[in-house]
Amino acid sequence: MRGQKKDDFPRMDSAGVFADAVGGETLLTLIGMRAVHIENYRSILVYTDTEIRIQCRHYILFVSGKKLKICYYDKDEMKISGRLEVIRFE
Amino acid sequence: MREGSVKVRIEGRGMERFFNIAAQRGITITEIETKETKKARKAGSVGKKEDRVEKIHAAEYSHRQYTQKDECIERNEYEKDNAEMEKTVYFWTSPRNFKRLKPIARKTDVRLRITEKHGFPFWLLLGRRRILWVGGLAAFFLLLYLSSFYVWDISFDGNRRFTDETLLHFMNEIPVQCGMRKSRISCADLENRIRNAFPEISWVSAELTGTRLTVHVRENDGILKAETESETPCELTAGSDGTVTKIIVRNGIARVKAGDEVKAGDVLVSGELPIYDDSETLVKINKVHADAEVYARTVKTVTWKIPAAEEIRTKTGRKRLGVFFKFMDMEVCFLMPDLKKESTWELFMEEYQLRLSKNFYLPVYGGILTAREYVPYEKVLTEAEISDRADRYLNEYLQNFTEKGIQILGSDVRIKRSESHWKIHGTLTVVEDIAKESPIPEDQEEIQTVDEHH
Repeated sequence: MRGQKKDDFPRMDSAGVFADAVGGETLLTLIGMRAVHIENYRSILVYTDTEIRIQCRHYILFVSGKKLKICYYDKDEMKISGRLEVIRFE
Repeated sequence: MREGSVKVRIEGRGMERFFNIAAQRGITITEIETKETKKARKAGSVGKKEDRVEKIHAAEYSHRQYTQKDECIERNEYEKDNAEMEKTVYFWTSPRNFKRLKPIARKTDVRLRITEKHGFPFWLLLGRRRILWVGGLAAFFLLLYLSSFYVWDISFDGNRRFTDETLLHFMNEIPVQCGMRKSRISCADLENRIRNAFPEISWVSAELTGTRLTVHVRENDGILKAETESETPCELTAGSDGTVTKIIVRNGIARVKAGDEVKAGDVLVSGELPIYDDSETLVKINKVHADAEVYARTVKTVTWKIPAAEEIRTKTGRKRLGVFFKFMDMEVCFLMPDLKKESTWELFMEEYQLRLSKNFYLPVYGGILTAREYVPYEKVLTEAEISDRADRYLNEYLQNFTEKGIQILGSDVRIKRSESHWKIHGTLTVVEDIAKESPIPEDQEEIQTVDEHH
């Protein structure tokens, strides 16, 4: 029908919850370039003050910057602060 | 944080693995950060190299030679880049979690070292190590607590006639004084004693607040005494020489009249009333209490001596400051030393008592000493100055008389120079009441004759 656009990306699944939360996908919340909040990660691979590699479900998340610091972390989430420069999936 | 927190330095390859296992076991680790510290010396870096060699040996031993070697090469390059800086990783955790981290550290081949401790439990431990310091603190509070059982300040309120010193001196004899236990002071007893000892004080209230005893006093303007007319027979005699100007007799027989010259000791009003019968013979002598006002013009002389020269202190403006402390009876004072030995100094002292609150006084006094230098010299007084001074003395003297209700008729001042002094002679002519009560001399003979007559 004219005027109606079909979204390719399904916002909700059949149960009515957000798809990203159930799929175990990694969620990133950027707080400017000072901090990033990562949810649903698996493990820390490398930690230095210039780069951090994080194992996620299907890929490795690469964060580089200066004076990087893990503010807190637990089994599923962590917060990295510092001066962020690159966030890359590998 | 009640539990406290520790800052841990972590070293070793398996750092990331360590963090992952810690997270799996639910151990909270926060603030993982890398800190750069400058290498102290070359010698330090040599030490580091040796350390690294040791590590390689350990790695070979653990049969993970290849990865270890790669790591080692990487690290070598890394260290070349940062030859000047040394990077170490630190994190924060709680002491309880630190204990749980130990097996993980062993497993992942990392070394943990606590670098900082914060929080209340560590503060307590620190206290245990500094036993003297804690002991001192405890002694301080104990002393403070003990000193609160004693009186350290006595103050008076409302006293005008009696000085604080007079009252303090009296209270010393009770005894109530500074440094006494509060339980030994009975306020009611103290009040009673003060009231009994000083009739002029009409109302007393003693109050113990904190370590301070406050005595509130109210004084009478004068002692109220019931006026009882004395019935004992007496006569009035002259207290000094003079010329009677006025006489008012209330009781007794006047022996003098206005205009008479009297000498000290002369009877002015007699207390003996003779009673005659019709034939004018003496029947009886009634002795009464003579009462009269006898005003007489008298001359008073007064002499003052003034030294011919007086010492005057001129300040040079130089000051020395000092402090002093007094604890109970011990006194320590410190004054800046005098550089010139022959100078003379006037010393002033300001004393303050230490107190914790308005009413919690302590037996500790402190103060400031000020010494001012002066140069003494003798100044010879001129005649004009002497006469000024004589006038001033005379005025003060006359003021005194006027307050007593004595009328002043005239005054005359002469100044005489003696060897080292000036003498001021003042002659005053005043009108005053010279009557003085004295007992009637017993005249046995007269009484006998009267008896014989009967």
